[in-house]
Amino acid sequence: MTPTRYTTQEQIEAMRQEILHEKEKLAGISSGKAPSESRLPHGRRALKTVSGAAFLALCLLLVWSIISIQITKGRGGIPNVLGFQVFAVESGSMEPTLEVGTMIVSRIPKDPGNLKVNQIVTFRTLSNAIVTHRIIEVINNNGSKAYRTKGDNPINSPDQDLLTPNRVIGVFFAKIPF
Amino acid sequence: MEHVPEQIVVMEGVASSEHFLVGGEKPRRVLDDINLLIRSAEIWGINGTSLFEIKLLLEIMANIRPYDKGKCVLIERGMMRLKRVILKHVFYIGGSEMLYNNMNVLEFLMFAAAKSKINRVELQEEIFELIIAIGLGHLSLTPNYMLTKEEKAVITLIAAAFSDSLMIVFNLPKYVWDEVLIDAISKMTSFIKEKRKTLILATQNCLLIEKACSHTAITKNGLLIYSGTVENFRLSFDKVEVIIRDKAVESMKEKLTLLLPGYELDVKGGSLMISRKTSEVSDHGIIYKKIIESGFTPDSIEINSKTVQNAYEELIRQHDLQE
Repeated sequence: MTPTRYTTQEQIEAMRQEILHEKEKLAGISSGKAPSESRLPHGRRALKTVSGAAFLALCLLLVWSIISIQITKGRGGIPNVLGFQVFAVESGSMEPTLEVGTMIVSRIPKDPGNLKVNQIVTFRTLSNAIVTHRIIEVINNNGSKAYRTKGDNPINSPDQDLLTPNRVIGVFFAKIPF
Repeated sequence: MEHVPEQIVVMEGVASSEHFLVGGEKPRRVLDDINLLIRSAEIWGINGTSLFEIKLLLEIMANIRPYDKGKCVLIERGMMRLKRVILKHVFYIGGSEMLYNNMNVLEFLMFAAAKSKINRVELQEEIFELIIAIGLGHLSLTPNYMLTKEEKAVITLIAAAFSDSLMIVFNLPKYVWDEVLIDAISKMTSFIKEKRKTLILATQNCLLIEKACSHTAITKNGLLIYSGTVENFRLSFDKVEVIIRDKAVESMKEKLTLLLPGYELDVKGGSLMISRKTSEVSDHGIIYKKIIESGFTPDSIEINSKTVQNAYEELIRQHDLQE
């Protein structure tokens, strides 16, 4: 509809009715009748309760995560939420699988001594740097396990030091697309 | 209880930094030696012979122009001479482009009053009914881009009335006001007064001052030549007592000049104006008697209700004679 220069009496009356309607609705809510609420079908009410609870849980999780991250960071550890950690790939050693700048999610392994070939792991090197490479060989050395790791980039040679289970931080879980 | 300042504007010997440069003459300050006191909940109409003078005076009051000499206190806060900041207590209206064109009038006013703590629905009703009450119902839902600049200015004035600002400066002396808008502004001033806000408006429209303002100040050649109530201004300077309308006003003037020696007779726009020469209150009955004695029966005789326009013209005439 093309707007007109002047507001007509009909438009004014319609606006008054709209305001009156809004006021009545408001009066209903404040007097505790909550007409719209009571008219909701049973299924919708249940859905509303569930979504409310889910939202509350999400909020609590968020608060808890923030607190836990802060505590872990304070202790010098790597923050995690429900056992998941986020890392940023800073070198090209895992290209083309993981490009520089990629964000990856790693899961803390239940049993770091039972990892398999081809799994991508995030670990601390002997010089305390954090590296994400692929296991290319599992070595059994007098009952204790160690892993040989290598970056996926063809120009990389296998890492010199064997990875012991105690230095494993996480196992690759997902790549965050962006 | 929150302290509401009583003195809104105090100007003592204020002189502007700006000068008029007239060829061959010594430069003259646009404003000089301005003394003015504006109190809370007063509505002031600032008029003058020069648009630039009155606009500048209001700009100094709003603290957006520096001044050179004197003292200016705004809402009980001293104004630094060179500081050009509009304080949060001042709602300055210096143009009509403050409205958003993608909204209609009611939407814009709701947006402008969003900070208000009143319930949204009640606020909407209050604003909507106010627009109708001031005679602008026909614009209440009109898109802002369709309004004239004068209409936009009045809508901005409504927004100012709903703001937190104690002082509203309506500095649009060039705008031309029709009767509908004058009436709307006049009704808005009552609302502004109720809210204990002060409005200062610059205009050369005497009817607007008469209908909307409680006080007026007049400037001429950079000086303030009157400041006080509108009522006092009308009664003191509009000396026209009776207005006679007739085809033969010229011959009537000749005869009545002899019969009314204490009065001044003047023909203006086909009407004969009978004015008192002194400041004493005149008896309209005597004037009427003398008209009858003259043997004329005019088409109409009207007792002048004293207008700001007449008072303004008389004041300016007196000052022209003094110079």
